[in-house]
Amino acid sequence: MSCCEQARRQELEWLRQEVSAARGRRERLLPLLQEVQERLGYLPPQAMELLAAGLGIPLAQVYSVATYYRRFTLTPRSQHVLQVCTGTACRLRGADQLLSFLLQRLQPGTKASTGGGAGNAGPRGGSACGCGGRPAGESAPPVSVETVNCFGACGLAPVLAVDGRIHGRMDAGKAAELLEKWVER
Amino acid sequence: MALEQVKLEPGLRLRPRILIGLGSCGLAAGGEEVRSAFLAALRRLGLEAEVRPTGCLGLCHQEVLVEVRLPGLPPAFYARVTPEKAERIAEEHLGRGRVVEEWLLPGGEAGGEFLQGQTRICLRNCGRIDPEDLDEALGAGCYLALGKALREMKPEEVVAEVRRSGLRGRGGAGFPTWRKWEEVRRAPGPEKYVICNGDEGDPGVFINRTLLEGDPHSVLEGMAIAAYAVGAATGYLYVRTEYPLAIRRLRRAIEQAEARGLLGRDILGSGFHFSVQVVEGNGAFVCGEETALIASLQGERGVPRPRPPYPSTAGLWGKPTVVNNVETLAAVAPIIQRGGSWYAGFGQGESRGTKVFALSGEVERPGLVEVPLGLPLRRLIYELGGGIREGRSLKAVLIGGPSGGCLPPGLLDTSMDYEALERVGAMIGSGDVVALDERHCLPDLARFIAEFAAAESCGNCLPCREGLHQLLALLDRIVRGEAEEGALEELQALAELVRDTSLCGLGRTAPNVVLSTLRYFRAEYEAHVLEKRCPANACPHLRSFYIVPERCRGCARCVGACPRGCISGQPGQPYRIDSGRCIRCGECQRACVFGAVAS
Ligand SMILES: Cc1cc2nc3c(=O)[nH]c(=O)nc-3n(C[C@H](O)[C@H](O)[C@H](O)COP(=O)(O)O)c2cc1C
Ligand code: FES
Repeated sequence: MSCCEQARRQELEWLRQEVSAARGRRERLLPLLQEVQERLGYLPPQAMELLAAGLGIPLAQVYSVATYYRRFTLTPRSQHVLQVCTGTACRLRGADQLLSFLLQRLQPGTKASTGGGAGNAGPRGGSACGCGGRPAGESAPPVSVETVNCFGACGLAPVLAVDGRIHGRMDAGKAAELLEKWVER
Repeated sequence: MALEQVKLEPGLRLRPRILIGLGSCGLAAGGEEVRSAFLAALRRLGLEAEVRPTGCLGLCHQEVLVEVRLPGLPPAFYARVTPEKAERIAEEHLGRGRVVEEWLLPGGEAGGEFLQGQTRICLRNCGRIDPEDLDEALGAGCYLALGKALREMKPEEVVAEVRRSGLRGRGGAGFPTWRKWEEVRRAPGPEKYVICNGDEGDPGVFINRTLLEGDPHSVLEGMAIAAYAVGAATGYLYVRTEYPLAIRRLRRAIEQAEARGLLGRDILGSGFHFSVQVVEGNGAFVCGEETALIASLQGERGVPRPRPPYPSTAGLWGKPTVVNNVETLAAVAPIIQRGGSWYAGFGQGESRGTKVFALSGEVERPGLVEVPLGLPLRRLIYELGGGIREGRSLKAVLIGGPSGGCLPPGLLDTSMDYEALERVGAMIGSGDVVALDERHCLPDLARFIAEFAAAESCGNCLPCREGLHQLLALLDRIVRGEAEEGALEELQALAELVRDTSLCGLGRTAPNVVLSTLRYFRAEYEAHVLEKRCPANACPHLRSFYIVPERCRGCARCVGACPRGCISGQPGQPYRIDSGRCIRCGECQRACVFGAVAS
C-alpha cells in the first residue's frame, strides 16, 4: 500500500466517525462534502457511499447535490491550481489575454475549466508526500488553470490566484515572473 | 460583563501605531511582505510600535495602504507601500518623527478628498480597526447598540426604529427591511431564524467582502439585533467560498464575542440567547437567491423555488426566517444607536440612508465609496472615482452587475436611487458601478453577461435554462459578424421573454444588460449586424490586422509571434500579413514594438 492509500484510508476512517455523529442529519451533507473535498482534493465513491448510508440519503441524491455545486469534483484535482478571474472588472482589464497566456504556457491545447472557489484552492493536504492522498493510477495534471467569477478584488484587476493566494494588477509579464518563482519552489 | 465595563487598555493609544491594509486587496498587493518589513525595521532600529492588520479602507488602487499614528498627532496615510518604502517610513517617520511627504496618499491628510467626500456609516470601521481584536471593535463602539436594544427597547420598538430609518435591503431588491422583520416577529411559533446573506456573487462587487473582512463585529451585532427584534435564537451567516479570509475572521470574531458574553447564551445578562454559525458556500451564484440559499443550508441542491411563500413565513426548515444582506445588517447598529430619523436624514425620496458602491472598470480610482442615496452618477464617476483612466472618454456605465443595466454618458445626471435607476432601465443591484471607455464593445459586454448568466442558471425553469443559451448563441453570432438582418428584433423579443417568464431573479434580470444596451447603443449592434463591423474595434472576429509599411522596421518580431505563420517578408523590409489565413488573434500587434501593426 502506498503512503497515499494509507492516508486515504485514515481520512475515510475519520469520515466514518463524523458520519455516525451526524446520523440522519441531512444538513450535515454539504459541510461534510466540503471537508472531504478539502482533505482529499476530490470526492471518492467510497466517501459518497458512506455519506449516503450514514445520513440516510439516497446515493443518487448525494451525487445530485455534489455535482450541482462547482466546488466539488469527482476526480482528483491538480496539485496546484492557477485561477484567473474572468469577472467583469477583470475582463475589461485584460483577463482574457492573461488566461490565454497561461494556457499556452502550461497546458497547450487545452481549455480552462471553471473550477471551485479560492477557499479550496490551496495545495491539498491528506498526505505528507504531497500527492493529495490520491490512489495510484488516478493522476491529475500537476497544474491546472481554472477560471473564477470574481475574487472581490476587482479594484486590482486583473487578478490571478496561485494556490489560493491572490495577486493583483497582473499582466503576462508579471504572471511569467510569478510562474518562474513558483516553479523554482 | 456589562458593556460599560469594557474599557480600552489605557496604554493603547499612547504607543505609535502602524495599521497595515491586510484585507484581500492589501494581501494581493503584497501586504504580508510590507508587514514583515515593518517588523524587521522596527527591530533593527530598536523602535517600539504596535503593528496591526486592518481591513480595506476602500482605496483598492492604493494598496498596500499603511496608516501611521503617533500619539497626539493626526494619522498619516501612506499609499502603495512596498517593503523598501516600509523601511524608510520606519526610519524617518517613526524614528525621527518626520513624515515622508512624497509617499503620502494624494489629496492630503486623513485620507483626503477620498474619505471626506463620503458618508461612511456601514464602512465606519473598515480600515480603521484591527478586525481580529474584539477590544478594537469595542473601542470603536461595537455592541453598544445591541446593549441599548436589549436593555431599553422592546422588540417592536426596534422594528419601529428600523421603519423610521427607511432602510431597504441592500442585496438587490431593495425591500423595506422593517417589513420582513415585522412579518417574522408576528409569525407564530418559537422557532425562527436570521440568515445573513454574504454570498455576493455578482462579479465586480466586493462590498460584503470588505465589511466581513474589515469589521465582522458590526455585521454580527446587526444580526443579533435583528434576532432580538424577531425572536430568533439561531443565525446563519452564509459566505461564498471565494472569501476565505472573511470566513476566517468571522469565525474568530464569533469566538471572541461569545467568550465575552456578547453572543451566545444570555447576552449581556439580558436573558436573550443568540448563536451564529458561519456556513461556507459552494461556488454557485444562484445560491445568493434567498430560497436557493435556504435549500443549500438544508443540505440540498441550491435551486430557487417559487415565492410566495416568502422566507418570512416559510424559510429555513419551513420556519419564519429573516434573510438580509451583509450591508443591510451593518447599517442596523448605527440606526439603533443614533435613531432612525438620523439615518433617514440622508438620501432622497423613497431611498433613505447611504449605500456603498463598488467602483471598478476604467475609473482612475477603483474602490469602495459610501455616499447618500440620490447622489448623481456623474459625481460618483468623476469626483469619487477620479474620472476615466488615461484621459480616455466614458462610453457607458454598467450599474447593478449582471442583473443591472448599461447607461450612456447622456444619463450621467441620473440620481443613484432605487426608483430613478429603475426608470432608466438599470438597478442599484448589489451596488457595482463599472465604467467602460470607448475601447470596449457593448454587444460583447452583453454577450459576456449572457454567458455568465447561462453558466450560472440552475436549470430548474425552462425560460432561463434554454432562453439564456439562445440569447448567448444569438449574441455570439452578432459579435462574430454572422448575424442576419432581423437579429436585433429577435434579440429584443427573446430577452423580453426570458425576463417575463423566468422563475427567479436570475432569469428575470439577466436580460437587462441586453435590453439596456439595445435601448441606448443600438447603432453599435447595427454596425455588427448590417456592416459586419465593430465600432470599438474590439471584437476579434471583426478586426482585420495589417502592417503599416511606413512604421515597420522589418525586425520580424511579429513573425515569431504569429501562431499561424501567415506573416512574410524580408528582414529590414516591411512585412505583410496574409489576411486570408490570419485568425485575428492580435499576437503580432502585441509583439510589435514600433506600433506598426494596425487593426
Ligand atoms: C440570482 C440571485 C442572486 C442573488 N445574490 C444575492 C447575494 O449575493 N447577496 C444578497 O444579499 N442577495 C442576493 N440576492 C437577493 C436575495 O434573494 C435576497 O433578496 C436578499 O438577500 C435579501 O436581503 P436584503 O433585503 O437585505 O437585500 C440574489 C437574488 C438572485 C435572484
Ligand atoms: S472581477 Fe475579478 S476580482 Fe472581481
